[in-house]
Amino acid sequence: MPSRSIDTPYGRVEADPAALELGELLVSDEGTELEVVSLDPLRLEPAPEEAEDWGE
Amino acid sequence: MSVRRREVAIVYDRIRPEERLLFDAFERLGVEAERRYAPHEIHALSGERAGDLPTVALQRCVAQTRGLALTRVYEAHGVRVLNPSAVASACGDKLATSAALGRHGVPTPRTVVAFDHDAALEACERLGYPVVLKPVTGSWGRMVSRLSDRDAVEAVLEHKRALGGPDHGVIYLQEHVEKPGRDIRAFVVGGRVIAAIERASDHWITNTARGAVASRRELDDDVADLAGRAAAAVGGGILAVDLVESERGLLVLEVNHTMEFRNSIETTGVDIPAAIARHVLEVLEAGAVTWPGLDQEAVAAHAPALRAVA
Repeated sequence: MPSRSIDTPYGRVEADPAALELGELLVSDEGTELEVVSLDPLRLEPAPEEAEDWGE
Repeated sequence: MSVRRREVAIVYDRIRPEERLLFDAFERLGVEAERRYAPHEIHALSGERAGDLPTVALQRCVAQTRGLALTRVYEAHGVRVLNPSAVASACGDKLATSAALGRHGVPTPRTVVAFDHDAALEACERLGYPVVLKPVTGSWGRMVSRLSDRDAVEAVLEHKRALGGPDHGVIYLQEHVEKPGRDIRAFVVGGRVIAAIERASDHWITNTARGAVASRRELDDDVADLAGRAAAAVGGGILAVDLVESERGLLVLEVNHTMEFRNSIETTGVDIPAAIARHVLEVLEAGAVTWPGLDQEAVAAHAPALRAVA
């Protein structure tokens, strides 16, 4: 399936909904980094920035 | 080897370049590794074994607390996890890492832990200035401070006290080691040291996440030997060992258990994700998590709850 525009409260992203995966990051046309947190229904939320216990 | 679906899983909470590379590596080996999104996982801990768990799981959560918790749950259900919780526990806490390295005679910068203001100042006097103060948890050089004198130490301790939280009551201090503008990262997979890079920076923190530039480092005997010993000291597995050259020779700075390698594949010419994937399959085939240095008693001690009913 080709990419299509997906409107979010944080701007528009171009993506193929069928190819998205949980945990994937997308950047909206407003520059917001969005994380795929649900596939059905598709839900994109602003990706959390670095937390204290994140890392290697 | 023939791998059935759900025998191998990658547990993750964010798809970074490393996770993509690992997905691809398993696919290239003809293995359909299940992708398990950690934030959506639910597990009973009251005796029943979940039916859909994999045989072997590669733990890749960027959130260390969540990753360790899930590893413990998986192990309790009889899943072989790379890295095991015993290893993640030893690497995810700098104090635990230092204790493990010290216990095995692995050379490190001189390290002291203190628990209150006055004791910390006394520890700094013993180490000599400048000292390096690090949080016991965390990565990528966050909140690591090089402190040149007593005034600076007192200021940071005051900030830590104001921040609150139990971790700020553990004051982890190291001697400052003058680096030659670089440090070394060695990659260890299943007890084998497979590659190394140098990370160069004008900044005293030589972390690629902070802009250091990576280049290939020959795996000479000294680097391979020390990285292997450090990995074995924390229990082995899939690890990145950070080393620094000093007047006393090579020293181990830290050992990372959910290593990043996106900038190290082309640099080293070693297909690190393929090596990891092959090792996961070795563990699947062996029927147990095993490699030189792994303390099986420690693994068992971390996973007692549901193994009997798994």
